Amino acid sequence: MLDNLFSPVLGNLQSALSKASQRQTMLMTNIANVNVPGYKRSDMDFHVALQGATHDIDEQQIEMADARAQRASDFTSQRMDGNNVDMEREVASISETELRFQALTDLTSSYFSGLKNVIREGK
Amino acid sequence: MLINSTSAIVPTAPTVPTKPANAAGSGDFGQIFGNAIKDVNQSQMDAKTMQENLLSSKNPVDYQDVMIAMEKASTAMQLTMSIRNKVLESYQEISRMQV
Amino acid sequence: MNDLNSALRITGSGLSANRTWMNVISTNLANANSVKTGNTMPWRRQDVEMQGGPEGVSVVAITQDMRAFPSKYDPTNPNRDSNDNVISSNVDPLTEMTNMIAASRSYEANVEAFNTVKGMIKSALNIGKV
Repeated sequence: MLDNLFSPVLGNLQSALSKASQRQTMLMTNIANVNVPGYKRSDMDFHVALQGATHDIDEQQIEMADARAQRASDFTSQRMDGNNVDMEREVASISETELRFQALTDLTSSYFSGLKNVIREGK
Repeated sequence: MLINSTSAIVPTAPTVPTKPANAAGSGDFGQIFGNAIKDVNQSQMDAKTMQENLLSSKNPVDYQDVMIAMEKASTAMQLTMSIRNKVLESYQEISRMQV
Repeated sequence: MNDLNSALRITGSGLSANRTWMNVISTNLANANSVKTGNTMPWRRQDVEMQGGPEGVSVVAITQDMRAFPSKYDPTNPNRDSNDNVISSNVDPLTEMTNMIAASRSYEANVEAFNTVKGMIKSALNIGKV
């Protein structure tokens, strides 16, 4: 009975939240490694990942987009020590990800409170 | 053999105060309600396990997953209570009817 | 460890490493004016060796900068040696200031990042709270 109680929307929200927190960990790693010679930044294609969370795109396309981004990153080098982390860019991405995460948690709370309201109305 | 013969016994229906006619729904309501209680119990146990695993390194679990599991459990509980209340109301209404 | 906890730990390692770096730079700056007096050598510049990866970053060694001490001909200086030269520290204050700016910028970025993750954890814990 319970399996049908919660709509696919909840699963999508959960996947998207998971992607956002994964991305944040990658960005933290970039910031921590900003002074390490030779380190190349890593990231995911966030837009593609979020679409994947709502099952519009399949896993393979997501992996391909991520691999493309990583290859591009591996070949860029802005500093003499081979490190390509741009602090401002990381900070901006971190803000973007946090806002998205926040929006998703708000949506999740609304989803549950809406559902509980409907249940309560029926008493 | 003894074991074979016991499997031939049809299990008796559980005794529950409300027992609407089978024609009204799919199967014994008591059974359906019993399953619902089991589901709610399971979802609460799942939520508890996730809470315990929050800081474990063996089965790492994300904060949002724990909170969502807890919300699912409490929503399911609310739904089940709501159904129970509705059923009790109907039972009381029926028993009040002059036959 | 879940993603958000990992993020905290990784950022924490960044704070730690940058702290160490700033201490090394400060020590260099404090001793930048040292000169050879008698048999005591001037301050030899120190640097940090950082290693990083997906688990975070750490200072694996504090290294000595083996470049030669600058030597200046100054016959009137009380600290002059037998050749009338003054041997001074190989710390270049300009380099240290530049590094200090970089180190404190990355320290600050790590602080901001740490607080961002804390905020995300709070958001997650607020799911379902009215």
